[in-house]
Amino acid sequence: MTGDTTRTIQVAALTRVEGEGALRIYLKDNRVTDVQLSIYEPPRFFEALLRGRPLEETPDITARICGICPIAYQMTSIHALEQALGIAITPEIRALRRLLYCGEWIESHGVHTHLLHIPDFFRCSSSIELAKRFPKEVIRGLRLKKTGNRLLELLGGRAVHPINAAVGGFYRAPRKAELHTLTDDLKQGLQDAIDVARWVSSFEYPDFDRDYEMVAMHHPEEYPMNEGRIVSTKGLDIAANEFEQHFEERHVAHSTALQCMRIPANTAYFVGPLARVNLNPSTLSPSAKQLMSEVGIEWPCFNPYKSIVARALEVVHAFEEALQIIADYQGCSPARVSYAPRQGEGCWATEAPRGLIYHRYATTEDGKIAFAKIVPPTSQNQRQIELDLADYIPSVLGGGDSETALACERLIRSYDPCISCSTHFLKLEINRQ
Amino acid sequence: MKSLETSHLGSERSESIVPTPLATSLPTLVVGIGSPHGDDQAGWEVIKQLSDRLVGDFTFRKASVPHDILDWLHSELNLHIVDASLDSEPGVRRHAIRQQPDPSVQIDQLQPLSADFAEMTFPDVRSSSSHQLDLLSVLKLASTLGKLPNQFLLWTVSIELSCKNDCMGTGTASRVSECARRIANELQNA
Repeated sequence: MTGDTTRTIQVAALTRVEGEGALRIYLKDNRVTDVQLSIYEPPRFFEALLRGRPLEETPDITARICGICPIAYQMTSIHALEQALGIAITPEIRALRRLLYCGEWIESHGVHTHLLHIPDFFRCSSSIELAKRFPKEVIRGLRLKKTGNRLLELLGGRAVHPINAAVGGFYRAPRKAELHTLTDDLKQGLQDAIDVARWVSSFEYPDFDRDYEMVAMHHPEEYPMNEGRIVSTKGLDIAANEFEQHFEERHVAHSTALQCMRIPANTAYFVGPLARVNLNPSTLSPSAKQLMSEVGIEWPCFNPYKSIVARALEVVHAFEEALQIIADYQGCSPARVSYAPRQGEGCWATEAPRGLIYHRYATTEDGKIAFAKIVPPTSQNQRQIELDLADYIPSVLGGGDSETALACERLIRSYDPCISCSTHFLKLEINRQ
Repeated sequence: MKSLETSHLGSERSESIVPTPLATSLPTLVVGIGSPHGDDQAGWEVIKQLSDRLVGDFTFRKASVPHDILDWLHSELNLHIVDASLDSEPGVRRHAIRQQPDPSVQIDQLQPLSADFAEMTFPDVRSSSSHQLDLLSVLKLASTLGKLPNQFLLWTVSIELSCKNDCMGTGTASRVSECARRIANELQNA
């Protein structure tokens, strides 16, 4: 295990994350000198692809960035373009957008929690192994996912890569009766989600509290989804249009993906459900708020493994808010606010299931995209994941390289990274000197 | 692409060996897995053609990722799944799959109805999909949870991945039509 030769250990596949990447750990005298989360997937050039295309195509094109959280890309692009075009949407459209986001959080969190993350806590190699031990719980998780998908289908036209969201609103607004067909399943889902939150909070968690700067959106009156200021646990409080003055994406030599850092200090930061819950406890739904106080966690929480509890609380919130929006819904007319193309620029941030997402666009007089910038959540968490691993690895080196690899995978999975939307391969290299 | 790479799967000859195995009294679900892009839209296009062609008590679904299927599966179904495949020889292949009566036996020990399918063992099939929830993993999970019909049909349409832009290649388009026609025949004659 030790010595002055370099040793390379390959893990065939890092299971249950999105995207292709490699993890390289450099050790000298069994001390970590560097950790590189290397994303070697080719860049996908979505920003360049959008240039010159009609702005109306942007929501559907950006939705293609992710099959798990297309709504986040659609919503952020739509809001940014509406700002560029000076469009003010109606309260009804705004509520439907929150409902759509509820569906995505339920679906995305449901999949990650039950099929990807929970197996770690029982040392199961897959959701199939987990299902053998906890069939009722896995079926319950799949039920949550299904209800989230139904919500997405009804509002978005289809569950994956929905097509109904548009600049200015929706191509078609649902009828009141259509939404009410979901009510019983949403009520069942709320109860299921509460049970899931209680279950995951009973898990054993590694002791790994860290001094993170957690960053999320904040809105005084509602749990942040589509709108709000950007705040942090270290005092940041800015408007979304100040994002690029405080955050900067950079290229690092070991990765094709950009890494986003806080500037000017050049520090890493943490986005995602745990950051959102920490920074927005007062606007969680009543049931989620009550659960927050009974799950035995001291808030704010700075243990990344406990992100799964935050995810579970957000699913409770999403079900409760979805039920409320549907109960209040009286129709949405017009479904879409009309607008005229113009030269302009707009930026916006929303909260994807995996954390803060930021878009900026410039439009031309004839309604084309002149410029696009997209900052997804995972690029923001990448540097923090590397720093976490550097701190965590010494505590798991004693178990052998395969155990080290497994421990690294577990820590990475707690972030629910979405490296890209294709395959999922992570090779681990441990270079010992 | 969410497809199987089916070089180890059975061939056309399997159809002449085994008749249609599915129970006809059950509700029918046909799921096409794919995307709107290039040859990968094969599964979706089969669903579109079936929807245009057939009227009756059939449910046709498009899945973008295999785990979508979990939302619709239950054990009492006449189930057909259609997916694109990277295959050594072009063709449309029909794989009849049956689970063992013993519920403790998982899908990796399925006894296929077709002779050629017997050559397939789980580790031989490479698959690619988001979250490592590929089609076979999803079917295994469904089997573990008792949500998989005891027997079902998996149709694979070989694709080329060489088509420019978002269009489907002519060879794939031809195989898609063939697949839709054959599934339609089975459903109408069941």
